[in-house]
Amino acid sequence: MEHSTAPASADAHARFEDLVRRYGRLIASVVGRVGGARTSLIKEDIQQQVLIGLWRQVEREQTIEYPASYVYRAAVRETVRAIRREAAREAQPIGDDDVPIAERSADPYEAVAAREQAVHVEEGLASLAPDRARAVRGHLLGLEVAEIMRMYGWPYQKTRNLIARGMADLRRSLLGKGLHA
Amino acid sequence: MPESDERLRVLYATLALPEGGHPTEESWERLACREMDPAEREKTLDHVTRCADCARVYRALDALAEGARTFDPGVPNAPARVLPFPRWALLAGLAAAAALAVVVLRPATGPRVPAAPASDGFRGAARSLDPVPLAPRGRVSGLPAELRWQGIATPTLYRVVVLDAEGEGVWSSGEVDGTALAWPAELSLKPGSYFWQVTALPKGGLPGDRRASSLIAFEVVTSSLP
Repeated sequence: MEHSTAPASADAHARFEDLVRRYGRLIASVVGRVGGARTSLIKEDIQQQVLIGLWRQVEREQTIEYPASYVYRAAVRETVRAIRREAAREAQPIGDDDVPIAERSADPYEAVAAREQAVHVEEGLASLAPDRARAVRGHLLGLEVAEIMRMYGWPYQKTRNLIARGMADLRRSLLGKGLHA
Repeated sequence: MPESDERLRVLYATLALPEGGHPTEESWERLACREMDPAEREKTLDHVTRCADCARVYRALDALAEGARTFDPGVPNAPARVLPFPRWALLAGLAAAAALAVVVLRPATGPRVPAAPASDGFRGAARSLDPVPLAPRGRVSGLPAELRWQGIATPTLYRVVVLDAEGEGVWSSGEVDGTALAWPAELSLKPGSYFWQVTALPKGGLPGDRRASSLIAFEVVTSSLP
């Protein structure tokens, strides 16, 4: 099987470039959707960074034996980096006009109460059957049914049932601790 | 999502920010490429469902795989089963395989290819549950006449979005009761690359039941006609 450090033909090179560009657009779109609220404001920056990162990776170790799977791997790494970059950016304060966030955490009593309630939620989750707990944890972190089913390889109906029954169990558990949710 | 779910999500999120134990870049790559053994995969996913930051990364990688599958044959095809089949599914699969063998068994002349278990509802179910964009795809001369997709089995409304090459939404439909939509008169596209996606909104379903198709690329080129 032939290995090469550069595309063997202009055609192959064009296909390879097209693949990288498609991934660049796709990653920027994914990061825009999954990233935080501020991400949409800097989508062009993200696309630029992603494309540069992707090219750096594929230029370092470019083969054309299985370019598609190779570029997918590079795209996975670049997506992880982009999401982490955006998460770090989200965590930074954005200026003096960001008063509401400060106000939300201003009441220490509320914060303590919320922390206690969160502990009850964790205890409730720990008491669930393992699959129900997995499904409910994913659901509570905002994963959609389709994402959870792909995550565990469950059929759709099973995933829905696990979430619904797990949430009902969790609520019963919280009710037993005097917490209405 | 019910309001109480939202409250529980907020509470859970306050604890779901562990300081360490996050998968490394290499671990994410192996997870996405389905190279982890079941135990390692389960351990990693266990962390993902307890960590808001990693759940976000996971969502992005899931969306990346779903989107890339339309143009890159190198994307791993289907999720590996982490957990064993339920016993009823195994029995149903064996029964279906036996019935199939009775019908189709004949002397083999070539290499045998193992058939997928009939009871493995996941792949089949996933196909029938996701709407599939049919047209436009690939290069389009001038504007497409319509947007057409394969619907899902349950009674459903659909919503279509068209995105530009940067993933910016350029048009979104209202709720459509059908599996085709005439190309909107108000949507004129310059030559270039675009994507579109159709989302199924099952009637009477929960918001979490919506099923989005993959993003499909199409390219508007100037008509070659005089």
